[in-house]
This record gives sequence, C-alpha cells and structure tokens, in this order.
Amino acid sequence: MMPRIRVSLIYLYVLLALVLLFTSITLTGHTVQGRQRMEGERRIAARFLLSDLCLSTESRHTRHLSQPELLAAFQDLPGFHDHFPSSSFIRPQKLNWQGVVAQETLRRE
Amino acid sequence: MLTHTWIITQTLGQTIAVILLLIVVFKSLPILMHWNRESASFLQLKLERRTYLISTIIQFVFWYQIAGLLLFLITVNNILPGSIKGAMCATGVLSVNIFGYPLLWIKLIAVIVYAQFLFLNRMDGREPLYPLTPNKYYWLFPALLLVIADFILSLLYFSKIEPDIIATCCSISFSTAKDSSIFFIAANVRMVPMLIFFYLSFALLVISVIFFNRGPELSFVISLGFTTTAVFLLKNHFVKYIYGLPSHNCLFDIFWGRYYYIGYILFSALIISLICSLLLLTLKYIEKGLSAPVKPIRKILQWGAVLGSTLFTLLCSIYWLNWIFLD
Amino acid sequence: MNRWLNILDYAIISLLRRRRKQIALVVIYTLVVAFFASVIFFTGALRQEAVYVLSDLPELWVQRLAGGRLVPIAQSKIDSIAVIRGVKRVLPRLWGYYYDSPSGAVFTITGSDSLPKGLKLLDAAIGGGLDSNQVFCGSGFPETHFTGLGQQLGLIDYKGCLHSFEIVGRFSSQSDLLTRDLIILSPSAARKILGIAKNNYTDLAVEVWNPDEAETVGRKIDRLFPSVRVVTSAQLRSTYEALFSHRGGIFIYGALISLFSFLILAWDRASGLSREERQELGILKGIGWQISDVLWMKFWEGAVISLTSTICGLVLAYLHVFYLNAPLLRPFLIGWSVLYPEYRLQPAFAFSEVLLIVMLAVVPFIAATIIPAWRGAVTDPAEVMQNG
Repeated sequence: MMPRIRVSLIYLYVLLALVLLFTSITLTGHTVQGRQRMEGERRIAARFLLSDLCLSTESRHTRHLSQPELLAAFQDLPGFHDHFPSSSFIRPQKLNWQGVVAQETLRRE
Repeated sequence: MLTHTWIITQTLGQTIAVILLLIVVFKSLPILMHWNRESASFLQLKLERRTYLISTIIQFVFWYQIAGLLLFLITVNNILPGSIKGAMCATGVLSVNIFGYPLLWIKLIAVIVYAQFLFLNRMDGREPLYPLTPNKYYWLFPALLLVIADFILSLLYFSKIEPDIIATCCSISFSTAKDSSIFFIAANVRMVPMLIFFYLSFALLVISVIFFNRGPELSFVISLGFTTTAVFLLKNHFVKYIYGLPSHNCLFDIFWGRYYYIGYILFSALIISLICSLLLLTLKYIEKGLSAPVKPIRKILQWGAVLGSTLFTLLCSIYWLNWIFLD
Repeated sequence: MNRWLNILDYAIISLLRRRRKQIALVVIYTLVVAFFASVIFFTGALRQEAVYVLSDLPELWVQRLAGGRLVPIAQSKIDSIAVIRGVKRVLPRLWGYYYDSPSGAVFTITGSDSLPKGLKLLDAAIGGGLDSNQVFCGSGFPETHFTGLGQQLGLIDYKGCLHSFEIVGRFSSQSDLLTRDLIILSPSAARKILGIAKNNYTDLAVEVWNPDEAETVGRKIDRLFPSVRVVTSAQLRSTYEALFSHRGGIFIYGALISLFSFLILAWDRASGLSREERQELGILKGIGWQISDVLWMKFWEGAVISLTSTICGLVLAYLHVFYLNAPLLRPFLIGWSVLYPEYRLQPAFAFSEVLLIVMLAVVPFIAATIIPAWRGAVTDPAEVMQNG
C-alpha cells in the first residue's frame, strides 16, 4: 500500500495560510504613519475650522457635504441640473426652511 | 434603513432561514402523518431518507441563527448607534420603535427551541429504531413560527428606523427609573436581599444539578430563577463594577471592546447554563424510550449547567470584589 | 477526527477530479465576494477617517439664510451670540469657492489669521500669521499650475482684478483628503477675493462649554435669530455616516443579484448530477457509506469551494482598496471633478466586517447546495448500478 497523502490536511494548511496572509496584511496595513497622518489631519481641521473632507470637488454640495445649501439645484445657472455623478452616492438629508434644529423642535412639540 | 449593508445581510439570512424552514415543515408533514416504524413499505423508506434532509437543514439554520444573533448584537451595539441621532448604545437603538426588544427576545427564544430540537434529534439518531421520530417533529412548528416572527419583526424594526428622529438613550432611561417596566424598578428594590437570593439560587442550582438526578424539574425552575435574577442584578448591580461608574446602569455597554467584550462571555455562559438545565429536563421525559446509555450525556449536560452558571457568577463576583478590595 | 479527515480527503479529491468545472465556479464566486467586500472595506475606511478627522471641531455651525440662500453674517450677530449662556467662543469663518479658469478646477478659499504652529503636515516658510500677500495652499494648486513654495499664485477677485500672492506654505499630499483644494489667505485678502464686505463673515462656528448642551444652545440660537440655520457637529458627522450607506446599500443589492445568479449556477451544478457522479454516489453507497457520510462529503465539497473563494475574495478586495486605492470605486465619488485627492486610506480592521462578508458569502451558498446534496445522498445504489 502506498503511503497516503492527506489532501485534506494540505488543504487545511493552505486555508490557514490564506487566513494568516489576510490577517497579516490587514494588521501591517494599519500603520503608525497612517495614524499620524490622521492625527495631523485632525489638527488641521480643528485649526482652520474645516468641516468637510475633500472627496470630490465637482460641485459645491459634494465638496462641503455638511454645509447644506437649499435650492442648490438651480444655483449655478437657471435650469442647470444638479445631477453630478458624485451627488447620487450621497443620501440627501431631510431639511426644511428653518434648518435642521428647527425641524426637531417642531417634532418634539 | 433597509439599504444599510448590515441590515441587508441579516434580512437576506432571515429570508433564507424562512424558506428553508418552510421546506422542512412541508417535508415533515408526511412523516407526522404516515410514519410507521414496523412497516417496510416504499413510503416508509422515503420518509426515513427525508429525516436526513430535515436534520441537516435544522443544524444549518441553528448555526446560522447563532451567528445571526451575534450579527444582530454587533449591529445594535456598534454599527447603528453611529447613524441614529441620540443613541449612544443598544438601549437607544432597540427602543427607537416598539419592535426592537421583542425582536431580541424572539431571537433568544429561537436559539433555545433549536437547541431542544437538535438535542432530540441527536438522541434519536443514536438509536436503531428512531423511538422519538414522529413526535420530535412537532418542535418544528414553534421553530417555524419563531423564524417567521423573527423575519417580520426584523423587517418592521429595520424599516421603521428613522435616523432623523432623536432616540432617547440612557439619559431618559435613568431619569424615569420608577417606570413600571421590570428592569427599571431598581430604585425601589433593595440590593442586598436580591444579592442573597442570587448567590443562594446559584448554590441551590449547583447542588440540585449534581445531586438530584431524579428531579430535573426542580433544577430547571431554580435555573429559571437564577437566570432572571442574574440578568436583573447584572443590569442594576454588577455593571457598575464592570464600568467603574456608580450611576451607569446600562446593560449593553458591556458588549463593547472597551470592556473586553465581557458581555458576550457573560450572556453565553448564562444561556448555556439555562439550555443545559432545560435539556436535563427533556432527557428525563425521553429516557424511558431510549436503549443506549444516557449517563455520559447527562454528565455533559450537568457539567454545562454547572460550569455556565459558575463562570457567570465568578466573573461578576470578581468584578465586584476587585472593586471592594481596591478601595 | 480521522473519519472527518477521510471524508474531507474524499471530497477534495473528487473536486480535483472535476477541476475544470470547479475552477470556473471558484473564480466567479471570488469575484462576487471581492466586489462587495471592496464596497464594505472602502466605506468603512472612509467613515473611520471622517469620524476621526472631524472629532475636534466646534459643536455648532451657524449660517444665515435670506430667500433660501446663504448670505454673509454680520459682526453684530457674533456679538449677540457670544453672550448667550453656555457659549464659550464664537469663531467666524470666511470661506467660499473659487473657479480657476486656466485649470478648470474649483478651489476652496478659506480666510485665517491663526498661527499655524505645530502642524506636522504643513510645510511652512513662515512662523507667524499670514500677510495680506501670502498664502498657504493644498497640493492641488501647485500641481495644476506647476508652481511651488516661494512662487507666485494669481487669483482674480470678484471685481475682475488680478491679485498676486506668494506661496509661503504647502500642505503635504498626505493630508489630501482634507486639504487638496484649499487656498488659505489672510482674512483681508480672502474678503477681497470672495467679495465679502468688512465686518461680515460667511458663517460661524460656535464652541460651547458643555458639549451635552450643544442641542439646547443650538435651539436657543435658532429661536433668537430668525433666518438662521444651526447645524450641530453630530449632524455633521452623521452626514458622513450616511455617505455611501445609501448607495453603498444599492451596490450591495447589485452584488446580491450577481450572487443570486451565481447561486442558481451553483444549485444547477449541484443538482444536475452527471451520470458518472450518480454512479460514483451509487458505488459509495454500495460499499457501505451511510447517507449521512455522503451528505457530509457533499457538504464538505460546498464548504471547500465557498471558504476558498471567500478568503480569496477578501484578500483580493483588500488589495484592491488599500494597495491599489480602489480604482473601481473612487471614480464614482470623483465624478467630473478636475481636482481630486489621491488619498491612501487607513484600513479600518474590524472583525465584525469580516464576519459580515463571510455571512453574506457562505450562508446562501451552503443553503443552496443542501437540498441537491441530499438528493444525491439518497440515491439508491441498486437502481444506479442497474441503469448506469
């Protein structure tokens, strides 16, 4: 009888190796430099009062997501449509004329 | 909120569970009606083959539901508090609408029902004659009901979450402590009698499980009492020592990494202990029909009940004592 | 233990025997998993970045509206907000957009006179505040205009006059995600370029003493001043929580549909047993395998395929998002921007995310293969051998 090769063990080792590979690249990816970079960004944001990340610069409302401008749809020129590619990936927040806090006040009362 | 990744995953999983259990119940109906142990007909052969499918599917759904419970806990503890205004932990997330807490309860009860069925199935499979066979399938109906309830409640709960409405978290829960709800009567109950009752019921549980083999009803009742007291005391007494804050009576913050995920350990210990004492009770009723020795099984269950409750009591007491002796 | 390994052995060998069919399956499966894992990793990392970077900001943001548009806010309002109880400090902001016609890019102009000390990512030539003819800028302007530190930067004000500034500081490209399109001017110069009158500001940031009171103070400001909008920093951060959770979910739906079509393939493959396979199962039953053994063997086949593909998909997604910088997802956010950040994301490793992906990938596959596996397992040996 020929010596049996445990294919299952080989497979389990390969699987384990893949899991280890994934864990190790994940852990090494989480670098000190990355932490420091984020720390630096945090201080810049606090210093210059930057309220938004620069994910996209194509339109004003996707540049400053948290600074809502009502009626933004026709703000650049009359009839100018607002369907920028990036704005379709951001969920609009519900607002009314008075702004967000006022809306909550209304709901509570 | 149904477009949230975490919620999609859970809804998908629940849909799969409902479909699989519907198939299982549908397939088990003929077994319930036509099962005849003595017969050697083709129908009986077909039914016997079918039992394999049913037990495989239930096993799969059981493990999925355990993982799903974990996923649900992670969702309400760590994922959703970020997107619901005012919610700082699961208390706020679960109370954003009326479906939150019932959903959690149903998920917990479902795990116990699956455990019961799997145990019966396991005991049945050891016997050549399948003594439990038609009857154990009656447990599938509560399981199906629970899965459907779980599915519907999940849909209602997740779809009714509105991130814009402010949730009332602990800030409100604490100030209305005199609320009639059972977990908020803390202000009116003295802790010392409760603590005495807790340790007493723990001791009784251990003694009855180990020494009274004939009376598992007793130990099951004690176990129920122990579990209820344990959850109550955990919420109103022990958590303070885990957090190191005298006023913070939040049951859910213990699931956070900040407290080393101790909540997962505590609650799994408690649930394992409860399930084991329930199964000891079940074992007593099915014992007569079984031919294989049940002693080793009973031993395992006893160990499970004792070790689970001991782990819980020990961990809580260590936190408490640690705090007393530190000062 | 040995019995399990034997069954697993058999399952793998039989998979390898039919490897041509299986490889296609594993490749498609891996790609599907890699796709939705990429979305989850990418959005998770962006969210982490936003929450961390924006955590030190003031609690309230006050803007003035007239006719539904943002209009500058006057100094007198700052003074009356500053005396509200609970308010620690009012920090006026001067900012706006600047369309740069030579490059076609839109920059963000910010006025600031604070001393930029101790900022690691700012490469500054001066230590004090900005003079009216000096600027700091992000990496965007120098790159599009091929200039650098110490050179000139020309901006056209709202009247059409060209003003020239000296670049005295440049943000490192590491902070691109925050500062890519920034041009920081002294307040007087910023007023000139943006066309904001003296004693007016774009909007206000309000610091409060006790962050828990932020909502109350915000509501008070909202009541005292008509035509004012108050945004809390909690809302500001929840904007970034919502980012992608909407369309990110739609992405996942898309991935789910591909997952379903793939599952149908898997179901079909598992249930349509070929003649050889049926014969093989019949022989196994004939030589004494139990139904449960065959069932386990089939289960292991499914598990081997799905685990292998899930792990490969995870690795692939990780490489895609964090080493290649998500070339397939970023274009959606960039849109028509001329200027966009070349950010490198910090991986947000969360066990829960991996659990989520595994649940999304493995559970449906196993569920789809249970019943076909059982059908195979209950094959009658005698029947197969006679007919086969």
